[in-house]
Amino acid sequence: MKKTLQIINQLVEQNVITEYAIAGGMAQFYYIEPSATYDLDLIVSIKDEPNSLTPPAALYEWADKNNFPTEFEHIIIGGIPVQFLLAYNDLVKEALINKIPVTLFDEPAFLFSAEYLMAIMLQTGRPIDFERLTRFITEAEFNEFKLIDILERNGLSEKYNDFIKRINE
Amino acid sequence: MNKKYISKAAESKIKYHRSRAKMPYEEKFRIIIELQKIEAEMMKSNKSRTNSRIPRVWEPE
Repeated sequence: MKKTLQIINQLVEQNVITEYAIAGGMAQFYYIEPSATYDLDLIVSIKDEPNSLTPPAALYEWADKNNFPTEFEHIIIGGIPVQFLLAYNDLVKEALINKIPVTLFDEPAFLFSAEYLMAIMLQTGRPIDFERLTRFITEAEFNEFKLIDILERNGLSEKYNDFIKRINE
Repeated sequence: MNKKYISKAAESKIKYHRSRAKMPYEEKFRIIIELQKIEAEMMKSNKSRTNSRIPRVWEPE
């Protein structure tokens, strides 16, 4: 993963992307016990941002030019399939602005905070998100005040209260 | 089984997972690859899943 992070950081230096944060499973496992995952999700921003629901074409052009293979929507970087996504809604945009700097494998990197990951899991709402959110509540260290603030501002408080009620039944 | 024993067991399980959550990221990364290998083997030997794509096991450089 060291090599993968080095190349991702180079993408910022080369201005292919302006910023990034690790999201999805690989960010969640920074805070909780790991389970199987198969890709590294990156939320990125790009200068002339295209439609946030389409994969960023500039990155695929970069991959092609620099001989990085692609597999479906993933670009294989340092042996790891990386999925680049643009911030697709206000909550994810806010999470990207408030990303936290960390050091992984002796490389600088950015990832979503625990509180934003929890809010995104709640918003996305697939069974796997609820399973991981339950683990966050029991395993992760997070700031409850920060979480409540994010949930309130993004209209997710009621959904969170229902979720907490369900896991305590 | 008495209730006290069950709640004590549940409590110690939570403690265990909480301590596992604190392990270094690099160690977690190693575990993820081991889990990918195990899952890929299971998928290969599961004949009812022959049509589904077996996810790529990471080969970090």
